[in-house]
Amino acid sequence: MNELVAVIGTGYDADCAAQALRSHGFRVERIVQGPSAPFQLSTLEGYVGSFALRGFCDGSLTALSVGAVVVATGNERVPLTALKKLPQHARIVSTKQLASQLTKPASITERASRQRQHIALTIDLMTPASREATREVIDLAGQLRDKCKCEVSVLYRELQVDTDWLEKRVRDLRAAGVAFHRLQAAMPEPDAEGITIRHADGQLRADLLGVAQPVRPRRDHPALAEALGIRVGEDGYLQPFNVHLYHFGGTARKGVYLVGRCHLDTDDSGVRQDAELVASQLAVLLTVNGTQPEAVLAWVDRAKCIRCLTCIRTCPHSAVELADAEGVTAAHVLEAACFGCGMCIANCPVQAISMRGQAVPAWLQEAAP
Amino acid sequence: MTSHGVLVIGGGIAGVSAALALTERDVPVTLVERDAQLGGQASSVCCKAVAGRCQQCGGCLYAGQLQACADQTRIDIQLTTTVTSCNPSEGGFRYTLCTLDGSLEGTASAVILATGFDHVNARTKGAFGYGLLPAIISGDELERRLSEAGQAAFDTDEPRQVAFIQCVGSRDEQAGRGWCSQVCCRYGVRLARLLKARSPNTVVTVFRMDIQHCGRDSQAFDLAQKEDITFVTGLPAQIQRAGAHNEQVLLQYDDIHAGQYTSLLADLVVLSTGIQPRADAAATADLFGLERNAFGFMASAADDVRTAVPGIYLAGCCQAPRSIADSIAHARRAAAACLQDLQEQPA
Repeated sequence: MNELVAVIGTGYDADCAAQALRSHGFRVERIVQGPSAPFQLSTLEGYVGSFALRGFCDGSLTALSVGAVVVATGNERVPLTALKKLPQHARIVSTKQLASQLTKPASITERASRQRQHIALTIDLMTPASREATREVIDLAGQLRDKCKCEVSVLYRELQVDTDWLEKRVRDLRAAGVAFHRLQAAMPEPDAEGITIRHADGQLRADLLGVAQPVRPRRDHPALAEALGIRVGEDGYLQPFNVHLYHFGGTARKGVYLVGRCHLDTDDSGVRQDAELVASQLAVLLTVNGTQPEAVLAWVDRAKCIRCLTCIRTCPHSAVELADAEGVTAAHVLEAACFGCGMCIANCPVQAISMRGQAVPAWLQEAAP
Repeated sequence: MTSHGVLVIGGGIAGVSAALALTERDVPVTLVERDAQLGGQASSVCCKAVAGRCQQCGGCLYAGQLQACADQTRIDIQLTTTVTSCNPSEGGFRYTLCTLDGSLEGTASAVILATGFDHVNARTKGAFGYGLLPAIISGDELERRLSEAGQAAFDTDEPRQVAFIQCVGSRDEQAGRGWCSQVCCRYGVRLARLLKARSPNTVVTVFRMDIQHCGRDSQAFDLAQKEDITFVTGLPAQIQRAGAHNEQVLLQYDDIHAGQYTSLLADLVVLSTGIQPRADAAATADLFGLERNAFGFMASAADDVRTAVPGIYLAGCCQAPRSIADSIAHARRAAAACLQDLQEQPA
């Protein structure tokens, strides 16, 4: 069993994944994505426990053999300049920029603090709210209020406070004098002296507006998913939203896992917990009794197979391959990768595939020829 | 005297998942459940598929876990059993169980607490008239009715005017419940879609503060808006019987967008009740020497699963409100943390 795990990605999510995997005793190989990366990933072959990541390194084809693959590429934050309807103005900055200037001398936040300015922060000005943006704004509002003694207003359309006792944080901030208002459809209107923002309770004048950058899925996900033999959801995040896989970082391909914001809507603490969960599941999967095949598996009758490749195309789990044995080339089911879903059986034009195993459901046994 | 395994307390979805995760790593487990069967609160959750399309509510996840647990011969399942004492002793815990056949002593190297939650009693929100008028039911009652009776869930006709009220017993500082229960928006919106799909002429209105449907989970909310389910910002002030001989009820609310006080007639009102700590959470905390947080849930370390007492871990809703899928994920993390600590301990 190969105890080397490939972690794809560079940011905080990938760091968390690598750290969690190491703490569970795995060796980790970090793989950087992008046009300038030294290793250009092309395909993932094999199955859990003995994958081969193939790609180009310095123009030559190389393969890395790993036991499992963890994708932790994160998401993208949309720059404010890309938001068409948002007025571009010196008084409108991103919350990230505000947060990074908090401790710096002679910064906009320092001036705001000195002049007791009114800073407004928006969570979901143009796109649906995300946990990451909500957390960012609530943390920043607290810091601006405590450290800079600014007047702070938080504007939202939907206030997402379901995780991490954020509801209490919001109440505490309200008690500390931070105003919370529900946004109206109107855009903020900046002028020379300040910014006017309309909200459900009226309107407010602020000196500075911090806009949380919207979150979106990375645009290289489709290419990465294709290389790894997994799928992208309708919303662009990795793996279709499926309650059986989503909360556990799983994908349709056994041994390929997702960590963090490439598949979840979460903040930093959620990413750490997700990394821990995936590492602990891999610790089971990559042990001797962990890769035991499912109770029900597909099985190909080599004599009937006409090598049409239908099963290889339709298998959602990349569990079928062509193999030579006894002088015959035929489809072959990789037992460690098969989920026993029956997709290949339903699609095989010559009924060459059947279910095998102790737990074949009664209805299927009756239906068998 | 049982062998040195892990004691898991609570046979709901979190306890069962933690026990399974430990067994996968060959750790002997004793699973204690006070009821006569495993399953807990998750067992009353109904399937919310709309027109054969899964809404990803996670209601079906518990069945698989429960079956796997029942098939697993290495888990010592103690039903109709409670823990009467549990004290640290030489690198582990010494406990006493109260079973139907008398008391049972044992030792464990670690304890996972998965004692679960209580549904908020909707009677505590008196203005909503729960318990007084038959047209007003709680979300978990609707779930149970749909899962047990399916198509025959309503005695006579399908209700024509349905109102859902969110945040009943959540985000309510005055009632001492200043937290979001996470699950009520998810099940409320999905149930609203389900009722709408059962009889498309039904008019469904959802009263909410903010919809807690974030990121990828927002699909049900987006679809609901397209299906003519009306979302009203703000909760009704009170609910009354519409008339002396009228089974309908009248919801009075402030329409903040129209800026006026209005009312709505409804045949059925569903109160999306939240999750609160169990009534006996204080006793449980005392028994194990644990602290509770400001809201009465079990206090944990920053990783959500470890506690102030080394060797005791938390899984599921006893630590914070969680959905079924999140409870399973949390329980697996608790089991992993427990194993990691056990392996680091000198033999």
